[in-house]
Parts: sequence; structure tokens; C-alpha cells
Amino acid sequence: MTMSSQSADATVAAEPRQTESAIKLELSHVGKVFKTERGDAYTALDDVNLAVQDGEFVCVIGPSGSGKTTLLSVMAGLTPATSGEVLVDGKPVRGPGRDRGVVFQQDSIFPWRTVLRNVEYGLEMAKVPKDERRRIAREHLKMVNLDQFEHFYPKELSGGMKKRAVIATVFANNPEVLLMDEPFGSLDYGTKTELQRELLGIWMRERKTTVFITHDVEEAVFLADRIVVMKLGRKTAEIEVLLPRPRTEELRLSEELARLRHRVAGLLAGTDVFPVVGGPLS
Amino acid sequence: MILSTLSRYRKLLLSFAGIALVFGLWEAEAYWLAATYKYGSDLLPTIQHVFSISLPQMARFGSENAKDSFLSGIVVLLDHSRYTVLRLVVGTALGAFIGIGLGLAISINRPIRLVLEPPILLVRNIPLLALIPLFSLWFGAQEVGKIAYVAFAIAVMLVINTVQAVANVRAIYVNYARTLGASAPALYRTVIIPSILPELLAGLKVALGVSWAIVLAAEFLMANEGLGKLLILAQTFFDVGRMLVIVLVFVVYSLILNAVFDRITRVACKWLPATK
Repeated sequence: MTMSSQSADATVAAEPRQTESAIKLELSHVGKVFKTERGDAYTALDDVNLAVQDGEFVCVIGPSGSGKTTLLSVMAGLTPATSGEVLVDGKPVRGPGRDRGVVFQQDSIFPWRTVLRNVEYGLEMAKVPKDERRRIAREHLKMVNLDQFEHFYPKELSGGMKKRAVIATVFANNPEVLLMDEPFGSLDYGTKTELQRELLGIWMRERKTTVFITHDVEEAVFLADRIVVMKLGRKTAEIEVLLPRPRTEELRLSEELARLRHRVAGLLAGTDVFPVVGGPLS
Repeated sequence: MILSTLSRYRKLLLSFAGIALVFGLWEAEAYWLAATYKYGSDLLPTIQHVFSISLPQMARFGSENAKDSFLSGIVVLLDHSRYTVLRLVVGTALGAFIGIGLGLAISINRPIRLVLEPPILLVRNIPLLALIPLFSLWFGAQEVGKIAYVAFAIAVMLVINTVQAVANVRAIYVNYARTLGASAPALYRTVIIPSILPELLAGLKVALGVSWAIVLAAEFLMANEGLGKLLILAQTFFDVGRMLVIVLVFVVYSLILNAVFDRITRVACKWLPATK
């Protein structure tokens, strides 16, 4: 099925958006080559270029093995790139840092700390005085509707609540850039959509520059300003999502969103001929 | 609720049944030996004999012409327990401190680990009992020698345990902490140590169990007092009854220590998800 008939759709534009805001996060010719156990070289990322505007919400979508998690790890500074560089506010990334908050795919919440002390963690590391960090932590717990659970240990929380606590922790640390690696991948549909709305609610208030990795087409379309499609370590397409904000459940079920979803699904399946930024279509 | 209390009651009952079974077998065996062999009752006295005759006879280890009585028997046991328990507790605490500290130090980075791990593995492979004569030579047969020996045994056990525990820390916690701005020392304090605590305490529990054997061995070979020494004395008199009294005392101490330790573990690791 070819989606090219819809390329003129109002909600889709091939070019990166035209707004004149500053670039917050930039990936310049990023490459990553792993050595396999056999000693062969495996290219996980191949010349990836991406410029994320200040306050923009970018989703990176791709099948497993497309390098999207590696890409996030490189942006986080946890995996060094073999070539190219990552810049935050024009400064190259040398390792992990509190300017880039990360929500991981797995449960990263510290099980030995209560919810409140988890949310305080980054502030504690930044030596924020106790009263102040407690206040900020409580504020963020309220934002994710966990204010009733501050003295709970993670073992007493559901999967969705743990994710909320991590989101509160990362936001409380006030990073410049928010990096999320399939954070809702393991949640059921209802919890997932609820957390998506909550995340967008917080994001609308704080306007953090966000890179969100997912393999879920609907999720990408619902959340993003722009979707980057990755395949085999290369960026194969970029799509602007011009759906209105705030995004609602009605919008999720709308025809507009469905059209966009089909378009992205088509790109993932490799059936669409689409203007490509940063590399050939595979 | 009712179901859970019922099952708890039942669990307790079943545990008691197990213990009763052991004592029952002991008693049956003792009667059978006494009835079958001439010196059968010397090989395994009855429970009643152990408590009513052997326990008072412990008084004889206190002074030459002491009269047998429960009270003086218990006083002698307590008097010798002091030495054994002190050696065990001080030696284990010292060994835990050194072992865990060394384990954490080794785990700081790969080069340090590569240098220090082989010699520690080498030392760990020396049979512990082979070192008793050496320790008594090096540190003297006094208190220091025995405590140093227990400390050494516990330390070599725990150093490996600690290195392993640090290696098992989930990378996700370390990565998460680093992205939240944790420095290397803060990472140790706030992530590594709390997350290895359950494994450390489990290792320490095993070490505590072994430490009874270690302190006993040290007392067999180089002591003038302590429960181990009493056991050897009882053996020279071929008094199985009194030997069993001492063994039972060991069992009681070990149970008490275990219970205390379990309580500490429960409080320190209350965050740990229950595993059944």
C-alpha cells in the first residue's frame, strides 16, 4: 500500500519546521561501531544528523535493531560515539550529566529509597539544601499525582506509578533536555495513554526539549512535533506533526491522526517514497 | 487474614514436629543402644541423662572439688561462653570490616581489581585449618591470635562476596544515578553500597555460621578456656553427655545470633521486594 497519495496532507510536511527558535540539541555525523564477540565490526549508528529546537518534542521511531536506543545512549553520554559529536547548547557532550535527564526503558527507580527520596536524588547530588529539595520534590510528585505515595517504597508501587516517580525525578532535576527511551513500552494500553497525556501536560508547562524513543506508531504521532524514522542505524525519514496541542483523546481517535499513523507505518514498512533527510531509504 | 494466621500457626506446628522428630529419634536410638550393647549408654546417653546428670556435671570443669549442680554447671558454661562469644563477635566484626572494606576498594576500578584479585583468590584457597598453627606462631596463642584467626577467615570470605556483589549491581541504577548528576564517590555512597547491602548481609550470615566452626577449631588447638576447650576436655573423659551439653549450647547461641541477625537484615532491607 502506497501512502504517497497523502503526501500533500495538511498535517504532514517533509521539511523540518520553519520556526526560528534556537537549536538545543544537535547530533552531527554521529556514528557508532561496536565490536562483536567474534571481533567483527557492527555499525549501530551511521552518520546520524539531527537538530532539535529548543522546546521541541521529537520522537525517534524504528524497529528493534534500528539503533534508536544506542542513539539515546549516545545523547545521554553513556555510550561514546565512534564518530561525530553530540552538542547541547553548542557544547559537546563528554559524558552523562544533569543537563540531560534520562527516563530509561527498564525500571531505574532506586528500590532502597522511598518515592520522595527518589525524586530528591538529583537535587541531593546537586547539593540543594534539604528543605528546598523536599519542597521541589513534593511539587513534582504532585505533578504526577503521586503526592499520596511519598513514603512508599518502589516495591509497593505499580509499574505505571514507578514510571511516574522516575518522570518526577527527572523533571525535578530540571534538565535542559529530556531523553526518554521507550518509557511506556512495558505498560498496558490504558496506563500508557494516561501517562502520555500526563507527560504532555507537564511538557506543555515546562517546554523541555524532548527526544522520545519509541516503536509505537500511535505513541509517536500522538506525542511528537516531529518524528524521525530510523532503520539499520540510519535516519531514513523525518515527518512534521502539525496536530494541534493540547492533544486530547478525541484527537487520538481522529481521522487526521489515523492518516498520519498510516503514513508513519508505511515509512516503517518501507513502502513509501518520501523525501529523505540524512540518508537513503533502505 | 484468617487463612494467613491459620497457615502461620500450622507452619509453626510443622516446624515443631520436625524438631520433636529429631529428639524422638535420639531418644529411641539411645534406648536401643543401651539395651543392645554393654556400653551403649556411654555412646549416646538419653536426653534425660544429658539434662539431669551431664549438665550438673559441667560444674566439675569449674573447679576440682565442686559439687554437681545445675547452677554451677550453668555458671561454668557461661564463664567459658564469654571467651568463645567474645572471640567470635570481635573476630567477625573485625573480619567483616576488613573484608567488606577491601572488597569495596578492589571494586573501584578495573586495574586495581586486576592487581588485587589474584592474590586474594590465592589466599582464599589455603585451607583455613592449615593456618591455625601459623596464626598461633605469628600472633601468639593468646587472645590476639584467636581473634586474628577468626577475623582472617571472615575477611577472606567476605572480600570475594563483596566484589561479587558490586559486580552484580544493575547497570541501570549506575547509569540513572550518573544522568542525575552523581559523582563517583556519591555513586558509591548512594547506589553501590545500598544496592549491595542485601547480598552483603546474606554473605555475612553465612560467614557467621562458619565463624562458629572457626572459633571452635581455634579453641581446639590453641586455648585454655572457651566452649571448644570444654568440648576437648569432655572428650578426654569420654563423656558423651557433657559433649552433647556443649553442642546444645552452641546450637542455642547460633539460633540466638541468627535471630538477631535476621531482625537486623529485615530492618535494613525493608525496601527489598518479598521473595518466597
